Amino acid sequence: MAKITIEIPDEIAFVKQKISTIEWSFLAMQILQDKIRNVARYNEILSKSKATEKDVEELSNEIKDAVWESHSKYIK
Amino acid sequence: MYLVVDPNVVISAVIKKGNISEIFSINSIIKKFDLIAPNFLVLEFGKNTRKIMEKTHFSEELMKEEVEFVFSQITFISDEEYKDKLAEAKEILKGHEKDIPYLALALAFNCKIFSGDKILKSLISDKVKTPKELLEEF
Repeated sequence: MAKITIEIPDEIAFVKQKISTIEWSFLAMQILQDKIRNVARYNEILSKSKATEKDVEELSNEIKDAVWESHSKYIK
Repeated sequence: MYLVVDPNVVISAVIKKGNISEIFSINSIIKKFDLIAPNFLVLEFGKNTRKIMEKTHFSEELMKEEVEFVFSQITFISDEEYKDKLAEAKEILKGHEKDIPYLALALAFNCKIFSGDKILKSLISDKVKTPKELLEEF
């Protein structure tokens, strides 16, 4: 089984005293599972997108133009 | 490690599956890169929300989820923090002025730009990381 080392700052040493090793493993697993669930959800939604590469180009060019417009005042 | 993202990367991450969405997926777990972008990008993205929903056929709810996932990984930087580098970036990029803000931000943070823009890559090759190059770094 893989071993994970978690550093607890001295300022919150009281947290360490109250949480057992088993609970730490459970917490780490939960956090990792949440992250993986979020990534899966993000990809699930993306796979439903009807957008094309052309749409990406078109939208990003519009945003690039507008962002540049906001900065051009500094160097004209 | 800081990395500037341009609108092409942000839009692509929100609306299309590919190398860029894979990078955002992995980075959300291991936080290898600290992604940064000009503040104005959020503002302009917001103005295009309706159009993005039309292109993707996302509902408002789905759109919100995707934007949250992607934007939570980016720190948006005020122009005050890099405006001093705009002239230098202009000098380097010559006529390719639309990318000046991203290069200025990269100069201010002494980092590279994450972009799929082929022209930008050809102009400042050592300053740009393509999606393919970045994927290989994980």
